[in-house]
Amino acid sequence: MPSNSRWNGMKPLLGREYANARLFIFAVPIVYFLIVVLKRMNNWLWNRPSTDTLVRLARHDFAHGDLYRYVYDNGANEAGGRLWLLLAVFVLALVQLGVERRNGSQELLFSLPYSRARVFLSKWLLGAMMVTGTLLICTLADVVVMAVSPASDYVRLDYFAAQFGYSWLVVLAGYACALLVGAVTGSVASQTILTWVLAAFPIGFFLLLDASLNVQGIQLPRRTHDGFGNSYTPLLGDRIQDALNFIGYASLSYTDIVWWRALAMLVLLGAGLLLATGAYVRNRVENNGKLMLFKGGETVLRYAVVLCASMIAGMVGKGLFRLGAGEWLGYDIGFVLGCVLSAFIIRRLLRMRFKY
Amino acid sequence: MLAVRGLSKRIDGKAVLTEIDLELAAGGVAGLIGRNGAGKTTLLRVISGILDPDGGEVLFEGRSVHREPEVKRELVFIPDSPEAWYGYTGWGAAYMFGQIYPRFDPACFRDMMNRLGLPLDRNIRHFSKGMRMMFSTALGLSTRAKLVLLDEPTNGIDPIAKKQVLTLLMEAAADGMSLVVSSHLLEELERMTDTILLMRAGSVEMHASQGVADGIVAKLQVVFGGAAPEAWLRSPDVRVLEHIGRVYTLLLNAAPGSAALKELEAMRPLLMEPLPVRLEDLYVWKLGGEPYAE
Repeated sequence: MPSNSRWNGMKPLLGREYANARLFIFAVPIVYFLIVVLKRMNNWLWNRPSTDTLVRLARHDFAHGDLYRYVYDNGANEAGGRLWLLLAVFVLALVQLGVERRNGSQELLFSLPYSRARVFLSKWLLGAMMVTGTLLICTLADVVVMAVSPASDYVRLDYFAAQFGYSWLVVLAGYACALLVGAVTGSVASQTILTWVLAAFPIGFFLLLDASLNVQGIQLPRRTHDGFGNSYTPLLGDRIQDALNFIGYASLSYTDIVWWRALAMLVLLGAGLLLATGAYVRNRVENNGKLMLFKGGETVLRYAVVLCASMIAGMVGKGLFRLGAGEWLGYDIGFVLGCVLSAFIIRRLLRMRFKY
Repeated sequence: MLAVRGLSKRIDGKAVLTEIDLELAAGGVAGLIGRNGAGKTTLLRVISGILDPDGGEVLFEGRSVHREPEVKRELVFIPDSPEAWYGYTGWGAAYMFGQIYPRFDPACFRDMMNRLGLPLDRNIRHFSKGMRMMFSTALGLSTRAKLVLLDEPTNGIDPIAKKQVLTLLMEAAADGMSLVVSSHLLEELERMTDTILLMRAGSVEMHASQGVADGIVAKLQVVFGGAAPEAWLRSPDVRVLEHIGRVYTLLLNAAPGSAALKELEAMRPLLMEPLPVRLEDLYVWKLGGEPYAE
């Protein structure tokens, strides 16, 4: 479309994406509003705060940390909102990629005079606009609620800006990863399962590996207590565990939002988007219905499934076979059995075509 | 206008398209025929850019369909099942295509829909299978694209609607639109096309529709004087189409170098009457003994 702008070229694609996800576009902001803004209204406008809180508000005696704890509930509303938005973008990615493989939409889109990168961009843009719009409108509404509440002296724009920015990064990073899974899997079922597996994989794999190494007598340094049992110093193992926990990022309280976490989400967003675009552009349409669309993806999935299943079977074996040689022998027996069985099952699954 | 060079495609390890070469001139109408599973739909999907080829290229007016998808503004693919339009009305679909295809003609679309008796404001999901195919064909033809690829456009539609759709196709061809029509309606294809693309074991043979079997196969009605020569009738150069009493309808290899006709003449049959060879005869001759592709 040389005479038209790039935007005009995107319009029909965006229009189609909108038509497919129309219900979402309206439902997501409404539910987010209920989770975040309505709860704030409940706390400050419709339920009268306790006399003690009102007195403390009048005295302006909330210190910095107390302010976010008592007035903003440590950002619990926003954390709940982020989890809802993550669920919403996961379903949106399913509708945009998994479902379109079955209903002929992909065939139509790929036959249109647009590059696949542009088709993918239109999908991502729709999701990004939905998330941005939801966050923007609800954050502004939240600011207004706080401004007219008894805690109006404690309206902190930096709080709202940080929550908006962090939520935006976390949700879009999650969305990019959900799209990436959608772009490499061939069915709705495999996209659904693998998206949740991917979300839990880093932390799950680390915990499994940690437990397996423990059985073999190798221990990662873990948190140490100060003798009173109420404080600890996170060490390497704990730090890795925290860094890999995606749900942990999403449910962070306000005071735990730090730059490196935001940066990690930004990197995840960029990498996820880049990989997802690449996978979508190289989509093997003829493999629709299969667990994975690409040979490389099949190989990665095969090794990951066999490794994880073997470690899980090893842990089960450790519990079942309590032999004199030590718990490692039970683990090893379970590991080998798990390896053989999972290799056989995943081989069969990778050959199958699923209707959904 | 359309040039396919060395096109190959493997699906699940099986070669579906093998080194396909073909060229279609502007304004031409080609019929794509072959047995079920021969790769007709795969070929159309590769040409329209839905599937990536493993080897070779598809050029439309000299530009690669896969590397420069914008050339597809003049190339439209109409699949055999327009599920993608569920949720749209006729007008909704026309609005979208109007934004994509520069020469889309909404008035023409409305006229075609009216001629086919299809409502413009009803959700496509609520159309019957045949109505969906008619809608899809009308939508594709209304783009006024230079080349329209149709996969089984008469799939699931009743005989009256079939005639209407074929009339639309012939009108579009008369207006200069190039068409590639995949279909099993051999009689109709023979009438409306100027080229036949016969798919066989992953490759394509091109034949002119006029005199489609010239120099390939001859059709004869034969009555033998004595006992029928069973061994000769089972030879690879002969295929028995029909056998009623002493009358045989035969297809004989008429390619240069084949001795089938001379052998028959040497047998001095009581009757040996040539019959016109139709596309269906060529189809049976070329593909009759082949099993379905797995």
